[in-house]
Amino acid sequence: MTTLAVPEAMSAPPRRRFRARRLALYLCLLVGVVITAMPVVYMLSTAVTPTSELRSWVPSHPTLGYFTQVFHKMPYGRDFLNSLLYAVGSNVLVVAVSTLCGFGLTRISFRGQRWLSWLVVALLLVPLQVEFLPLFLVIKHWPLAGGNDILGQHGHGLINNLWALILPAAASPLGIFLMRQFFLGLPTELDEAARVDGAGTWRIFWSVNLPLVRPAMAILSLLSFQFTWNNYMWPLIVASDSHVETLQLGVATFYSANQSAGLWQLYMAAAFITLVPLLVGFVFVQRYLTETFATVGLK
Amino acid sequence: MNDRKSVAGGAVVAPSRRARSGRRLRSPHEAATGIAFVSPAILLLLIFFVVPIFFNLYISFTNYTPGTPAKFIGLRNYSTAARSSTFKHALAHTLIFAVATTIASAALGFTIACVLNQIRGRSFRFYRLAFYLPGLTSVSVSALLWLYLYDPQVGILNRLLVAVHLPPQQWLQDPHLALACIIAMAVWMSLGFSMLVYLGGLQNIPHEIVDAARVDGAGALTRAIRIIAPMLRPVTLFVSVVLFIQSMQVFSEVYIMTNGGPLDSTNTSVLEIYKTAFTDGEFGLAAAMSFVMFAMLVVLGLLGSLARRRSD
Repeated sequence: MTTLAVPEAMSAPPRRRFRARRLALYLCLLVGVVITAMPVVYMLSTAVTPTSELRSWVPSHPTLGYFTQVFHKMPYGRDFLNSLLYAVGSNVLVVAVSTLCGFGLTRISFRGQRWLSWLVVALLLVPLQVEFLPLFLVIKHWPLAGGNDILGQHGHGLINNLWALILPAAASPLGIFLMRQFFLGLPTELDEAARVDGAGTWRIFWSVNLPLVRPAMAILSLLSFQFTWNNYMWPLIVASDSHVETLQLGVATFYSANQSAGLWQLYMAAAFITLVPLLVGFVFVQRYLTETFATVGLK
Repeated sequence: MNDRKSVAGGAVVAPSRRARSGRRLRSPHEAATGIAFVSPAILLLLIFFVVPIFFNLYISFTNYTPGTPAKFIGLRNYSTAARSSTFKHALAHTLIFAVATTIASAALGFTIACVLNQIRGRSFRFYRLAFYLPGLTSVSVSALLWLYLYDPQVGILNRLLVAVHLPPQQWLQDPHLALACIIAMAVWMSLGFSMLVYLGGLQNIPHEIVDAARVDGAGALTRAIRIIAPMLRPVTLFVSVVLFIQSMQVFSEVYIMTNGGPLDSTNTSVLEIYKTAFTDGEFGLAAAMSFVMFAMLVVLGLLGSLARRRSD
């Protein structure tokens, strides 16, 4: 991390004011953290609080009972697997496809290339609401799937099929744009040296450029994973059947199905175990986040 | 004899031609390779992006309902949408939501980033994670959590109010408060992103300028507003645009927490489009609504860039 502040001693305020300023800083941050992170902590604490102690702030007899109840009442394992397949599948596909496309749009010259690049940029501006309706229809009328004939009639197409989730997620103008921008920033000397040595285009892509664009692939991967893991709307529209429902859908339907029970600890337990996978993943990749935002986000 | 300058599997390129055309080679083989590289992505884009847009346009001029064949009805859907007060209210709510969320989230993100930037090491990473934590929660998780916080009987917000002798509120069941409640939740979720981007931007500010200002006696607030913020204008633009576009598409929060109620006070445009299509079955009308929204976004975008050009 590059640092911003010059050591306080250079501007020569007295030591006592320096310490007081530092303290005020930490105090403000602490208040901020209370407001932002405390609700999540409160969610966990509620999930382990027996009903008798709900009125108090900290439970003295925490219980894991609600977690086990959730695992019994909610098909967590199946939902988790569906979410995982969706997230990992679309992740792999979008990174692979976008990287190939980014390379092709920048490192190879062919007719129509500039036009394609413009198309990608234009598609970045298309909002979700114009897409989701017709996309639903495209999925529903997918030929030769789900009982559809070759014209896509009389069946339900790819509805309630994981591919309905994975394939549209791999069609990402943002992914292509990201990789393209990154490729544009790479020097071409290595390419030329490889050509002189007799390397074919694929070889140049795989051995020379691919290792260099790993940071961009990592960002795309992270963005894609976060988006697909947390996605609610699209699975609601095309994959709400119980055998393909994702974790996010499962949690929400668990709440609406059990609403009469009114047991908040149960909902908080369900919510927490839905949050945990992404949380664990994020803690591991924290390091790369700010640096990559600084270089990529401001282009 | 092996000509070392030949491209493996392709045409032999004379050195002079290569020097003239710069870094890229043009040959039939090359073009085919290029198309091979881009075709998976472009094919996916065509099927799942381009075709749907035109399909949607077509549907908006019909009265398509699943199960019955579509009949061309011209601009009737558009006039229905224009006359629908539900839709117009939904648009208004969406705009209010987007503007409020964007401004609040950007401002808070900027403030937190400025403060956090002066800390390093372990504390820095702890605080950064703590502030980004809400951004990691999905909409389902956040919705459940905030439904709990806002619950009139057992929610902590009402408990806090009662503890300081203020009247408890109905929050999500109060038509005057519900939208504000959802805005608060949306700001909570997005300020982590805003903070991260501003932190990145702050890295690029040369500290000599800031320190010169401090030596000249400028207080922390003045430094932040007069010096740092203007230098971060591109970042602010980026954050605002991303947040605004994202907020205009709000759906899941409202669907899970209030389903547009109470009394349609939290109805948003995407929710309205969704309900028109999947509850009322009127795909044609829904398609028209989506294009009305698209047009509005385009107009807003143009106004935005006009305003920016004038202020420069």
